[in-house]
Amino acid sequence: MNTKESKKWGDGLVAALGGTKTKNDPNVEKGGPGSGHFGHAGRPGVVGGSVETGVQVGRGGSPEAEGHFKWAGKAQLKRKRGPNVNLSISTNKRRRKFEVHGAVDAKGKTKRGKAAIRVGNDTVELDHDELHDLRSKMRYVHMTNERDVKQIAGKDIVRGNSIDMEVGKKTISIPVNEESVREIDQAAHAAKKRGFSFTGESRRQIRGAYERMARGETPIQVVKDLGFSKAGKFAALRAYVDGPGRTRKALDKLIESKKGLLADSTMRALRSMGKKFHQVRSLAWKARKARSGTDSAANYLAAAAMWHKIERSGSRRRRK
Amino acid sequence: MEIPSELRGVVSPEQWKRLRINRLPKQYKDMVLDIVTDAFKGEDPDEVDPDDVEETIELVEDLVDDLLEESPKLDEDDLVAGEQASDAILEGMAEKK
Repeated sequence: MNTKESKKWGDGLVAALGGTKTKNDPNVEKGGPGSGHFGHAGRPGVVGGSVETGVQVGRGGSPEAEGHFKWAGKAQLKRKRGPNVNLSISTNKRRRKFEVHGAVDAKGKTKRGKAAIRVGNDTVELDHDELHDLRSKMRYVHMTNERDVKQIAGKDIVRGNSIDMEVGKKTISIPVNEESVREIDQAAHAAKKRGFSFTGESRRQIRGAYERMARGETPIQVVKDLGFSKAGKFAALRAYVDGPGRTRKALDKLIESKKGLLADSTMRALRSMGKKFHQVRSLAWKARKARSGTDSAANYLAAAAMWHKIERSGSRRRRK
Repeated sequence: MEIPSELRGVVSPEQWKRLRINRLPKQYKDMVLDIVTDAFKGEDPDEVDPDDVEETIELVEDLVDDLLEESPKLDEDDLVAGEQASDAILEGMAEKK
């Protein structure tokens, strides 16, 4: 990112948080649609419009003077229902795992239009507007880090800023880094397009299911045991079927590696299964394109079952 | 469902029954039937090794077990959510690679 662009980001946040110009930020512009600023002052009735004006924003000293970078500020996200969300942006070295996924109710069903942000064991639920607003702030803080690192390179710079988010009595500290910014970007993008539709499981849980499958557990049994949502099951099965190494060549090699271990008829069954795997997987892809979830899921399930059988056959017993 | 004529004498009626092809949904039925037929294509009933047949039947039986599990019925929202979650995982795996 160049310095000119970085400056725009900075200007945008000051406007977003309702702060005043400082001597470090001489050219503050108002954000808004088409302005190119993510940290905008809010669009009436649309995303970002929930930021309360008049909140305080300040810097904890000049980076050049102190030899490190500090950032502090407070903002509030007004909620339509429930307690308001207080945000403070501070320097924080903690980089705990940050996840955005669909909020779930007590029965484990995904709540439509709600996202859950989880840091460690703490979770906060946000709605559409709040997610977008948080996104603009996170992106700004992240870009500020990048910019200042470049500007005062060689000095003792404290990185790893965070946003503290307070909902009622609960406060969670959200690390602002490449990963968390990317994750919230994806979540906000999906929210905009689909009005929030996430799986009820975190990425880590789905990844865990994939890893169990990759270790040899039956894919169908894994998703069944874990009690995943329908979307979660789909995600885990798809990751297993479309994951790395699932090529025609690799499959043929895998099948031929069993030669001598299995009966000729079993080898023919495996080769036939290999062909079916590719057919079924392409049906799953086509169904995804046609937006038919049920057809796609059924075909991914069949493909996962076949790959698993091909991979595991002959591993339990060797032929005489 | 009757044993196909080309498999008679190779696969026993008990083994055929164990495959439960009749219970499979339509889209899987033909697929499994093809796999079994391909497996025993050209086998001579007089020379076939019963252990080999049993090994193959067990493999297909295992596959049928999985295919009999109910596949999730997804609406478009579920599909998008599932795609999004798996995209992120697949991207992560590709980067690691």
